[in-house]
Amino acid sequence: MDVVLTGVQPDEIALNPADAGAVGDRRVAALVEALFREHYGRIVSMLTRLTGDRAHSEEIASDVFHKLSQRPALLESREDLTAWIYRVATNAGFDALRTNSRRRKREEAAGLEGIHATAAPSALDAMLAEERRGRVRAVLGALKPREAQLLLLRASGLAYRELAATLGIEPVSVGTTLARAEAEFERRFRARYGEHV
Amino acid sequence: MTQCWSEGTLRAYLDRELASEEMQRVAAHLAECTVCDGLCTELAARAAHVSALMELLPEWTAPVPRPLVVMARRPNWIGIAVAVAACLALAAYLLPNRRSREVAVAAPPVIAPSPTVEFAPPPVATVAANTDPAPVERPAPRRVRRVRQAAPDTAYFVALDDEPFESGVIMRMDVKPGKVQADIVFGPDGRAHAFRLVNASQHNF
Repeated sequence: MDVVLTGVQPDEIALNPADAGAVGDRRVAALVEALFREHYGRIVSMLTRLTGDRAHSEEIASDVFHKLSQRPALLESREDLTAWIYRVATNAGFDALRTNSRRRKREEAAGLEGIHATAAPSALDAMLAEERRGRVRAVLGALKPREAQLLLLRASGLAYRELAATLGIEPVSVGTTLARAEAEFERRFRARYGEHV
Repeated sequence: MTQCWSEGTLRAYLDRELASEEMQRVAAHLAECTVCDGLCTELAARAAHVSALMELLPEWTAPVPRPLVVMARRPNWIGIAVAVAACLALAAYLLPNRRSREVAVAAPPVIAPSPTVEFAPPPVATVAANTDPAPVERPAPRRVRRVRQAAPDTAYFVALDDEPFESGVIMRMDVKPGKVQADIVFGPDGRAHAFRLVNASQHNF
């Protein structure tokens, strides 16, 4: 028997505020678990792309769901929980990105001479690739969090319907939001680094 | 000429995220509107550029967490075996049918009630006398099997050590928590040699 809980959206589990005690706790736990199974992998993937730190991304995603489980009032409200989860995760990812960028600058300054000293092609390629990734992350960090979130999730292959759920908007508005996010990303990237990738 | 479409619709058209009928209408319009066609080309180039940059970021697919209820699908035999073994060990310890423990059970005729017996109303001798028709006439009442036959429903004394004793005093006292009482056999040296829980066969064991 395969237990498949994916595809469960918050609206599909009705919470009755009148239910109290153990029954209410079980429903809250079931709702959090359903949301966790639905979105944990995507959030970790998105945050890993954003921060480049998989372990930290898993930690952030776990914290988001823990925070959600500690707020039963939020669970019982009719707020769009999917959008809330992604918004909180993206904001936490942005904080981690800023912290990582400061740390990375220190580490690069410390290790740059060592990399140049080796002069191996693989080491040089690795350094250039990391520099390109750093540029992309820097521009993403300069965007609005929801714009960066949209670009990251779109790059992961999410459909417009799924993107709309993560942003809390209508699916017909995704095209407009995506076009604006791409335009803003490209404008900022060209302003910083010119035409070169 | 058909109507021009918004930038968002054209972006969705590029991703084929429009309904099939709307896709055809947009395609028909792009064939005859150079402005919208140019805008669509610009959007496509920008999307490709951004996508190429985003692809630089390594993607890592998180494994789907295992469902917690999957244990019902495949029982944990090791856990079950450990639980059964623990239950058997506990039962072997609690049930008074072990020979090593029964050897030291205080026999009714041997124990001589002392004057302090007034604080302990039901000594072992009394209990055995109620259930055994002639306990005093038996020459060797220290046999464990005899005690078991005489009082099968009575809570047995559990020896606290393997040292035999000839006489002692039985005292009944409360054991916390709850309303459990215990009969404790004190030997002539003042140490407790055996005990039993009152009504243990009904409530406690």
